[in-house]
Amino acid sequence: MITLKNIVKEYEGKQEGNKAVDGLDLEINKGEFVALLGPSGCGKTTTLMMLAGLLKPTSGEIYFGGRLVNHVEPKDRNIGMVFQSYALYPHLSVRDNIAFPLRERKIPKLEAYERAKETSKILQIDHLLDRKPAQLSGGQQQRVAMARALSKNPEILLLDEPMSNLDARLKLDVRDEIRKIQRNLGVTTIIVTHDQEEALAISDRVAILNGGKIQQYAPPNELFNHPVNLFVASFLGNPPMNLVKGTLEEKSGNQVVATNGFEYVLPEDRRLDKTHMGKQVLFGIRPHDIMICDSTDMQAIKMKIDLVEHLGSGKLVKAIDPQHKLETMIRILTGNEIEVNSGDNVYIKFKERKFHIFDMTDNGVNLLQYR
Amino acid sequence: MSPSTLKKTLVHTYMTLFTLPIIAMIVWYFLSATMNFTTGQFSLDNFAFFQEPVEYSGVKLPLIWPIVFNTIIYSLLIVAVEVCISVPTAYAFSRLDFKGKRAAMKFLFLMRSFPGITLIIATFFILVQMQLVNTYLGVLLVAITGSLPGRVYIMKGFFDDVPWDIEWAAMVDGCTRFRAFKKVLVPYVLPGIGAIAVFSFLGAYGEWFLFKLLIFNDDMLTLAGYLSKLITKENQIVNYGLITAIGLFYTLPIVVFYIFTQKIFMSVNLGGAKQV
Repeated sequence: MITLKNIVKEYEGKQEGNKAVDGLDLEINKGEFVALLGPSGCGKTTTLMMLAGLLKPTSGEIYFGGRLVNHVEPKDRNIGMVFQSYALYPHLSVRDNIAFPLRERKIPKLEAYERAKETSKILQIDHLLDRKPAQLSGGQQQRVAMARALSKNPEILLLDEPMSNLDARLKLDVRDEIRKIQRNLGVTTIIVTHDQEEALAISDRVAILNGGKIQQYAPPNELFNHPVNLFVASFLGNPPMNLVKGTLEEKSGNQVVATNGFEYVLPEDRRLDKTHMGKQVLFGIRPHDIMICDSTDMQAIKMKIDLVEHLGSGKLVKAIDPQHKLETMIRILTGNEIEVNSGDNVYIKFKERKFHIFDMTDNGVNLLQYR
Repeated sequence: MSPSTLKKTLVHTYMTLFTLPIIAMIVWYFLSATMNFTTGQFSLDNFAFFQEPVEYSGVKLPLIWPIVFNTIIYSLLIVAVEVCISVPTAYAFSRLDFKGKRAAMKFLFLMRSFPGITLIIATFFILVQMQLVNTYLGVLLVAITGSLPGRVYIMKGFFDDVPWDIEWAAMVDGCTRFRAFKKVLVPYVLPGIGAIAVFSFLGAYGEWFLFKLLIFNDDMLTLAGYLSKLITKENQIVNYGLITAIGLFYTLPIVVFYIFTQKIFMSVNLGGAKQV
């Protein structure tokens, strides 16, 4: 198990209080696949570098299975790492690249080559062993980098944006393969990525970072359906969540979110504490949680379609308020079977219990998460 | 004649006109070494220095072969010392954070562009104090001090081009920092090391001034210094045949050397460095 306790990393030369990582706590179980996800500059790579031992935390503690490793050198941590640029040794053949970590452990040459060959078979690159890195394609280089990281049977595998230099289709294959290999070997793996789809698809748990802090650390499903705050909600999802400004009000015994365009009555089991009434909030709903409906439906809202984009698997409809009171447009994801054209007037409704309410007075905390 | 052929012809004429004097000089150079001008016949008389010590109009110089030996030893020594010092130094400047790094970098740059000849009298006095005049160690120290800043500067450019990822990968793979330097970074910057080695060698091979200044025994000279001894104020009647013959002997290895190493030269451009 890996434990990070209140990790702070300040880079020298930066202004006071400008911390790359700011009080980060994280626990990773043995054999787990964890993704660190966030926008650039959120501290995810810095965190990975501290796990590798290439950077030392300014304060806080890192434990590998109960052993404090803050001052343990990278070479003594038994980690394998794949870099974004792959960082293959250009002067060595693929075989020597993969055997390099083994040779550094004073394993005899023949045995190291034998093990390099075994590892290369797992990654299906055993036919490339005699080539130099420069003679390989990007995908092959990536596999060599993986093989080099895995050849020494590391306790922990660190992946720093390993797929960002691959083309879209190859990415999907490599992603599945990394996942499969990780499962077979049972190696604890941490991947850093800015690609949310990749993070959600590949990992058991995802830590979303922003501003050097963990925003939420949960399985992908939970992150998507129960975001703890506005950042997580708006960061995840493509197309992004619709966010409409409004106020929480109490009207004739019901709690409503009143926006400029519509009033949404909260269902009985989603009622909020009375102390929240009157607060400025953002009402959030994902595009695929909105349906186009009849005017007679409960809580139907009249909208005018501005634009229809065909995505192949469905349509992305951008709707605006016909009275132009609502500042934001609403994105709706519908199936191909629904006939809509720009300029049409339609009624929409929100799928029940799929909405989120973010408290604007408290850093966008999701008011519904604590239920 | 089409405009493009006209243009070509003009360019070629222009180039030929400017190259002709140089070609003429080279031709004269060969002729003067291999011809007896009084008889107008081909002769190898000027190459007698292969067999016997040179002696003409008051100048007496030792046999050339020990001098050749000196030259090779001196040049290789310079290459070895300069490479061994400048590579780790450049690594430190490129990769490590230490106190006074910026100041040292600036000083390095200043030293690189400083005309070292203005310091020569002071240098001479210091060497006298240290009793290093008329020793190879003295020449070596002065020569290396003068050329190191440039070598370090070029080498730093090569190290700057090495991605950090490579070094980190080596450290994760079980290397200490020094071992990563030795096993991964040095092979990576090998073209740069080749370049500065060539520069050092050529610099050392052509060094005559320091020998003229600091070495008083003729049998301790290198080829360049040997050659410069042939032209002194005392002997106004210059034996061009002899000078060009020895000059040819001195130049040919360099021409051959250059043909084989020019690729390395191309990898260095304008004091900085380009990845090859």
